Amino acid sequence: MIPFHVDFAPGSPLYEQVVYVATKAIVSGQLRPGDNFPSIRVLSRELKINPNTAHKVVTCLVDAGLLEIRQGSAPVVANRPAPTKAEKANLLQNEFEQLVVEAKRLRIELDDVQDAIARHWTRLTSKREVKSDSSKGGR
Amino acid sequence: MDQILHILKKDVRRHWPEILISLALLALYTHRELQPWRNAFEVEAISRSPLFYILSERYFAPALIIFWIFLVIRVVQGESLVGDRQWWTTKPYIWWQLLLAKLLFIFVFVCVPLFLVQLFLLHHFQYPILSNVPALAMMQFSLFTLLVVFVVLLASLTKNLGQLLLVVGVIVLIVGVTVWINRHNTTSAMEDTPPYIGYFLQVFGWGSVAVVSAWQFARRRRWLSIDRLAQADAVSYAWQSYGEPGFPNPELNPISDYSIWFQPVSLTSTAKADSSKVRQVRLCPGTELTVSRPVLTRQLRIQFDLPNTRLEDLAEPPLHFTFR
Amino acid sequence: MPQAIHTEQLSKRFGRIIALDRMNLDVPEGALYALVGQNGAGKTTTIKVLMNLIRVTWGSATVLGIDSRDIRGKSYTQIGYVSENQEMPEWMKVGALLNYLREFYPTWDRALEQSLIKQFELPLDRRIKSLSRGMKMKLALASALAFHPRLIVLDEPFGGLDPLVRDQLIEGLLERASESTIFISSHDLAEIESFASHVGYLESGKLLFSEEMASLSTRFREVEITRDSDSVLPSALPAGWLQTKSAGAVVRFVDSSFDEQRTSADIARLFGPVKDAQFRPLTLRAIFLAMARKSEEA
Repeated sequence: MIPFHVDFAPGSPLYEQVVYVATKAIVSGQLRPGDNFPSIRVLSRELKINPNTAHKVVTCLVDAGLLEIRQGSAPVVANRPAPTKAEKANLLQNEFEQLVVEAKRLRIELDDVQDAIARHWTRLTSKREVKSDSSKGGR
Repeated sequence: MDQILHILKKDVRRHWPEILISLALLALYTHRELQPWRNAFEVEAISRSPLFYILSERYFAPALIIFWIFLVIRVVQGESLVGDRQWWTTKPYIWWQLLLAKLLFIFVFVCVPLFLVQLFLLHHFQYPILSNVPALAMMQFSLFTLLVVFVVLLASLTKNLGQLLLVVGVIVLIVGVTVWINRHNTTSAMEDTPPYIGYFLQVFGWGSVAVVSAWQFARRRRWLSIDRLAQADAVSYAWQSYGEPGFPNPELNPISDYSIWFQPVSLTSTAKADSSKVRQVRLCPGTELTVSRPVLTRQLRIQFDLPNTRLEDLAEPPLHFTFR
Repeated sequence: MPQAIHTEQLSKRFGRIIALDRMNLDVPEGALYALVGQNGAGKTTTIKVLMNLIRVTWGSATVLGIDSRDIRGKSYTQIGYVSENQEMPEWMKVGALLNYLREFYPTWDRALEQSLIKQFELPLDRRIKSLSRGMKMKLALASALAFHPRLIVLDEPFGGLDPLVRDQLIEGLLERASESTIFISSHDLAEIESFASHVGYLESGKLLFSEEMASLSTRFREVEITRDSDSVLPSALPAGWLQTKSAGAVVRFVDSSFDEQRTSADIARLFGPVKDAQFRPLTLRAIFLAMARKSEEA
């Protein structure tokens, strides 16, 4: 099983989409340092992608410093310093951009957008009672 | 009612080559019957007729019959009654209209042309037509019941021509084996008119064939149909062999005594007809009229000669369609 | 509301093999019912029994108010049947077939026939024998739609067809959806999902579920939990959880009876407080895979 979920959408290369989701998983703490990362074979089989694509994914993640290749075994999540706020915010570039584009199309003002975000924030924070607090503040 | 003609039209459009061929064969047969033949003249005939006529001399009538059988099979299997993949089974066909459409086809393209040809030949050889019509009708009836119904039955119980040929092959094999086993039986050959009860059983036997065909059209339950048929005919067999006077006769072999035999139907004619003659005799207008039997479809005799049929006789098949 | 199709304990046996096992199926009138299931689950058998092409072993089925055993001849004037399993008269020309069939149906609509011919681009002068598979299916569908049937039954109509043909078939079908009940068995879940109103899942002759599409999508969710640690999965998992798997701290499963409160409570009970929990809706294809894999494991 792969410890993250990918919904492939048309428009951008497959490997980029996998890298994106994997990065989010690692940065958010879903994958902790030292955790086994799926091998190329497993990635290919579970995501139904070409092994070459899977290979590209792993290479990308290793280059970004998120994965380490151990000799002869599956890749492992690298030990790295906790992600900064800026790094994490960077991951949501696509989502932010999409939000702004849609808001502008509907001619919503920035203030209204911020208000709406704040409202959703409060609503969802109070709902998530099952989660522990360790997600706040990074590791 | 309206489906019948509609289906018929479709079948005619589909089978027109076969229809034409069968009519052509019939025309050739007629043409041959019109030729004056004699044994003595045959030599002369050979020298001037095309090779075709020589070859066809013996095989013509069987070829015609076989082609008619083939035509019947093709028509009935056009809407194949076996299986659940047929295109027509989920269309609003009314079963008895389908059956009638097929029978009408056979009637129009087999029975009627033959009837017309016979009338024509009768007329040509100066036989009175009107008084002979009943006899001809009787002959048509026997042709229909003995030949067509049986073929329709087989065609309706088998999926395609291949399967049908297989079934026929198996039947021939069974008959052949039975005959072979009976080689040394010395039961009497039943050449004479069978007793009254024999007729009844024959009607019962063939009636079951007709009924089962209709049942197959109605219900398309192939194995059930075959089962019913086998039951009916088993009863018929049993009754015949054990109902005969003289039961129990140790020499009586139920299979070997089974024979179907239809009375020869003779036409009235001005010529002196010799009713004991059953050999084929050709008509030659003129000198031989008085001694020879007219070459007309007048007598239908189907005989399953199982007893006393020796292995040599298997050169000619045990079924004799003497159809002249 | 009257049921277009209703079966009670419908069962069919072939020798020792039980093809349909006490099926209780209900298709309301006007529905667009999709019967899905693995190969060999019994979908084609179901349809053949409903159409009276195969005999019922025991139980009963009622189609448009008629007992399925009584369906013959005239009953078919209200039922259009299209199947990849059915032969067509190969020797006929396309136009000839339509002309021929027209006489059998009192409700045949010539205008509709013409528009279907144009819509499906049917070549009237070609023999059926020479048609491609897609063209044959289009012809079969046209001949099944032209008489405004009350019920349209399709058995794997999309098998092996290219996307354009599929689209044309679906379009043709949906245009008639308002006046007919449609019963379709198919593997093309992506296509079906967009237009089916009801779904039934057949497995080894048993109808495991049969419900409206809306309720199906509500009760199936893919759940992904991130725990604090990667301990072993608890052994006693709720029955509705399918394909439960873990990798590291992440646990994923398909909840087949998802309810936000109850599922969250189950999660809390089994895993304690978790770092993250995501709930995602599933496509029909993913639901099918989850059900099929579960049976594979069993």
